[in-house]
Amino acid sequence: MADKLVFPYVINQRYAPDGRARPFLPISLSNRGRVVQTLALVDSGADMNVLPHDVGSQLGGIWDEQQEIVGLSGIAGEVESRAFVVDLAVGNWPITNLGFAWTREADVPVVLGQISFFSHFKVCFMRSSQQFELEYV
Amino acid sequence: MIARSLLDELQQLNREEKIQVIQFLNDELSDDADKLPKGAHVFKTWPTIASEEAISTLKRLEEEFKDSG
Repeated sequence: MADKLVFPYVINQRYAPDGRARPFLPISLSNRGRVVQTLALVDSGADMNVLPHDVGSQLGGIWDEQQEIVGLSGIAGEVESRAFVVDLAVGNWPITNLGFAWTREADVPVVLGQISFFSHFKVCFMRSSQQFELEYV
Repeated sequence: MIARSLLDELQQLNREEKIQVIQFLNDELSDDADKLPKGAHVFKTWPTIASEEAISTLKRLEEEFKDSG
């Protein structure tokens, strides 16, 4: 198992149509046999992991059955969200249980934030070389 | 940078006046959103700011999930 993995910044036209490369991490999320592979934005400025609505649904989330998260805000004020814990796989590292704020918004990327992605992984951003390094804690 | 005097003045307002100021600023920010450069993308959940309550809810559920697994 590699101690560290290095990923390039990538241009993700779907979520960042300005064409600027950003630290998007290829991940696999799974829940009870359902698997979603996607690019997730590694965002040290986000307090919490965020899951867009469509991804949560694909993972079998049932909105009314998930616990409400009170006090999550974005640029437009309070955002309605539910807590959803799923399995995260990065490379061949051990599976990590990761809690997400599952939102009603579909037009957002998966966001990996301080709680709790950054508790499980050390991240080093190297903007000058358009790369970021990940270490499993 | 916001002048200290402006903040002091805002602090002197009564509750109703403070709400009026919030509504005014909200309208101003909504107008600004239309002026964003072409190609800019604004997500409602970005930047993601969570209260202590939100954080403790998520942490607790992660622990429960780990224990049940």
